[in-house]
Amino acid sequence: MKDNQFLSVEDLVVEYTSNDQVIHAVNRVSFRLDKGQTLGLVGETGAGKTTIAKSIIGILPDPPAKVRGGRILLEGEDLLQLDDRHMQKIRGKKISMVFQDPMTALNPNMKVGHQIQEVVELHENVSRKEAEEHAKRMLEMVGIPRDRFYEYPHQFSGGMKQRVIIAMALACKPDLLLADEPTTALDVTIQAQVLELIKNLKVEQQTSMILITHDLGVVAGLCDYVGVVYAGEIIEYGTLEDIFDHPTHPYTIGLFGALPSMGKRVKRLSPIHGLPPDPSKLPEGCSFSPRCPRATEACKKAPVEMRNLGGTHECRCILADKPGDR
Amino acid sequence: MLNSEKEQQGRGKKQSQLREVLKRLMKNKTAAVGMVIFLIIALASVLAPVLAPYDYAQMNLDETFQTPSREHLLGTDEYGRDYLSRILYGGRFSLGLGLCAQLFSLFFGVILGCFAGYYGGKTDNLIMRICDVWQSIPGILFTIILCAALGTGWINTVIAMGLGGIPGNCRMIRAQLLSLREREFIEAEHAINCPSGKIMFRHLLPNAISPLIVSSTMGIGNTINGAAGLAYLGLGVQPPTPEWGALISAARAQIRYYPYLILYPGLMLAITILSLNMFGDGLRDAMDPKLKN
Repeated sequence: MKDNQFLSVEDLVVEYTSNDQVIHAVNRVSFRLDKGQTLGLVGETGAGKTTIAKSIIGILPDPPAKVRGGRILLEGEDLLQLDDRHMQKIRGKKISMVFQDPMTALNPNMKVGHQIQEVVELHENVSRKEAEEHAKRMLEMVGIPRDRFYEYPHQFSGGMKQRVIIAMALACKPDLLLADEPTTALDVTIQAQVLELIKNLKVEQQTSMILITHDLGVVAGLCDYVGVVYAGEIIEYGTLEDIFDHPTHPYTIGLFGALPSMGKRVKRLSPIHGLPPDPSKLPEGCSFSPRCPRATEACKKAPVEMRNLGGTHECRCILADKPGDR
Repeated sequence: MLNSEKEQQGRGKKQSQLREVLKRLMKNKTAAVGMVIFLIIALASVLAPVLAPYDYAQMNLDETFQTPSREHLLGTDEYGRDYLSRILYGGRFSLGLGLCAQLFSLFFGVILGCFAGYYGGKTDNLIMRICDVWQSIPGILFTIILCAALGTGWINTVIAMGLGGIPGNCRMIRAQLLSLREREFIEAEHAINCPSGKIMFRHLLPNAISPLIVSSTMGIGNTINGAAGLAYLGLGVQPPTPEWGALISAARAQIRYYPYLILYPGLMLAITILSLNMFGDGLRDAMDPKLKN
């Protein structure tokens, strides 16, 4: 069963070390992903979402980051154990990544076309001419005329740059696409365009995707599964319906409480009080307990294990087996 | 209107990087003038064997210290050698020396700086400490020592002048790379698995080289000056090779009676350096695609 799994991350632990301080960025994160499906990772800034993505593609800056434990299995192969030579065949070809800020993710001194062409040349066994043709086709695919191949990034708008980056990421038909807040830097109309584009291309190319975002609306539109990340842990995991219709963890409930909703009439949105814990000094028990309105003494004592709530729905809360009092 | 039409046509057509840079350079009047002056001087130097009316080393003791005349457009020096020929040939040695020494130090400085800045850590520490030691020796003294050790001659002067510039260039490139390598597009390059060499020389270097180009074009002038100083000390280029600095120091003795002997090579030196500075500054602007149009 496990060998058929497309991607499975098991007990991943990543730490950053700075000035003798250990920062626990990712703590025992596990999730699974099937081919063609999309997992959304949502959470606050600094929760460790990007670190999870970077460990999968293997571009964590080392030092200061170190993977302390766990396994990342892609089609049964542990990416963390692979040597550089094998990893090279996977990075960029099987897994690719879309970065957050389109303004800085392109080389300002290089024509956009050549940047796409470069990916193709690195991973496909094709001539320069063919690579150029392929790059032009990719540009057209993301809705940019092919004759803009020879222009520089500064001649493009933000949304177009992001589309170029998506073209780069999809140029080699990756099996897994890591999208790290692909729409955060864009305004709402462009956001919708880019999301639509990602959606269509994903279906067309049968790509699995991990979408990192803090926008629950984006998650609702694109994802099959959702993982809620808090302080380096996945605190709730399940299908889109599980999370959106039956949020169980107090944090997830809090997230939805902070969103305006069309259906309900509320005078004020209710924010989650407090701040995420300092990742160098995580609380002993449940990491959300200092902010949790329902926290008990038991919450603060021991770390909370994932509990299955039926099906794929899992939650890291000791009160979670009472789904009735939502 | 016309401009935008032209742009429409140009769009999509493949243009070589060099042509684009040249086009943008010509729009900057100062830079264009600088380039033209420098090209004229360079051309005259290259074509010295054709242009020069006499052999630069041919002495004629009957015609020493002649004032400018039809036979000798710039007069003759203390041995009756034609001064115009000597200045034309002098350009060859001076410019060649300046260019080659700068290229030499640029080449090695860039390679060392790239490795130090890109790999960081121990590599960086090692290269930087070597540079520290290197730069702790006063520049001119370092060059003199090298010249004395290597011996005189054109090639050795190039090496001696060039070696002194390496740590400076290395530091500049390293500092640029240190900030550039943290940028997101380099992370993106890692994510598509671009090899290190390619990241260094194709992605980082073009973004880091502009300040170095300016400092190097301006450095050519300094190198020519430095070589003149060496020639004065009896090191560097040896007579009868007519390097400009050597001409100036040779003419010093006659400055009261024949001031033009020092004026001509001095003027040539000044014009060359000025044109290079104008050109270098414009080149930096022209090479930045963001300042296009």
